[in-house]
Amino acid sequence: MLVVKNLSKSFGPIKALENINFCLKKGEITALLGPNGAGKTTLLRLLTGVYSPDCGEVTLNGYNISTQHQQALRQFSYVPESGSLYPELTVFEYLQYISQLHRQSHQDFVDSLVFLIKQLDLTSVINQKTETLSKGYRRRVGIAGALLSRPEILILDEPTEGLDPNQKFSLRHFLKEYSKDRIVIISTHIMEEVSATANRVILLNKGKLIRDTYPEELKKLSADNDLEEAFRKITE
Amino acid sequence: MRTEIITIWKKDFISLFYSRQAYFLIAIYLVLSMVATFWSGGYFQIDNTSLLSFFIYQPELFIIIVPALAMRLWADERRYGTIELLLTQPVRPLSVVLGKFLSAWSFCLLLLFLTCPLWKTTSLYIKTDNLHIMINYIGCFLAAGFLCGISCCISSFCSGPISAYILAVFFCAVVKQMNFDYFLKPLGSSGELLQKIAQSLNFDAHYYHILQGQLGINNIMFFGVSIIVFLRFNSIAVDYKRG
Repeated sequence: MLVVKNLSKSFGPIKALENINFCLKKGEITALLGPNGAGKTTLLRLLTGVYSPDCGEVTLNGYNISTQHQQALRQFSYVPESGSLYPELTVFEYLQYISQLHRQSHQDFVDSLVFLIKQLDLTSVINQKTETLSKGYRRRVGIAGALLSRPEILILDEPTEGLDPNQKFSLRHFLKEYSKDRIVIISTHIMEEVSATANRVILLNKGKLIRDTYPEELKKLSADNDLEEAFRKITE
Repeated sequence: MRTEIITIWKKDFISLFYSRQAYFLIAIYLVLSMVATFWSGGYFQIDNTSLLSFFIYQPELFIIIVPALAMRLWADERRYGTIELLLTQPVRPLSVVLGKFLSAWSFCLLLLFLTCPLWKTTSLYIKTDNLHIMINYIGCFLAAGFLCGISCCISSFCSGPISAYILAVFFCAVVKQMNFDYFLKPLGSSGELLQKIAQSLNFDAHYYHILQGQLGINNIMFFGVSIIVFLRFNSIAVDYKRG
């Protein structure tokens, strides 16, 4: 379970997030939705401990990210928006490095690697340096790195950016399967992504949580049952 | 914690060689070392039983080389955006700091190892004091660790490798040259205690002590404690940058 209570964060005079509250349970794919500058990435960075909150708390499976940092870090994996990888490493070396940081046994690493290479179609680039990869492959390698330890909570910032339609389809299918007994959070501003993947939507605007609902409920806010129109209506 | 440190140390150390930066630094260091030894150090003019002409300019050389090694450790993580990835892995910040520091320090050990042929060649022509040379190498290694500590700390505050390099060279030079004698001498005997304290914090004083063949617990303590302090600052910098 992921619980966010009274979370606020400011950068100087700018209030990036203000009094955010929600609770996520297993089996949910939650889309963090909002226009640019709404505070989606800041919220993800607070959830993952990259930023410290000004007030409020985040607990991941009962571990507070600020006070029980190490235990909390073991509960999730995070794929940042930048999809940054170490340019000097090959895909295999990168995945091995991440696995070692997670103190996975060699056998666990091999098992996860075989599964993920097949699932994310990385066979052809496994020995290629990450700096030579296309954006789509870089994203998939980042996701593979996050999935190596099979985390209870998976947090993805713009997961399908740079992927072709086939890759998007297979990733969405995979995430749906994966979320059956886990928590998946995706940050996006692509409505197609929300419709295809999410079963819960948290809508942010100007640093505030303005809706915590289901995609179907959100659609009802527009005349044509259109998510994009509903989004515009709420955030304008 | 040990596994985490080894993982990060190994990756950062090997990465140096992938980027070819290591080969470049090795070449620069060896050329400058030999120029300093034979030209500035007066290799043929002085008594070289302890290879003094080689060791005398090592801190100055490390001030140029070490920041180039350390600048990429943290600044590159920021440049490539991998810092976010690293900070969300289940590793203690101290393990990351130590792993990175050790990768730079062990590269300095490699650099020093590569100068051993000079020791061997010298010993063919004159009777060298091998124990003294060994102590000098240890002193040199400790001095390199001291400068690695400062450089890693500076790198963790900077967002670009160039600014990290320039600032690290500046701070290493300032800390190495730090001498309070000018300010404390006018105080005369009343400033004796302060002078003693200042002397105990002087890099050159400790390094040249070791070059005289006195490894000494106080010298080891000076370098050891300084390294710990710089690593602590490094840890604080990482937390501070976390926001």
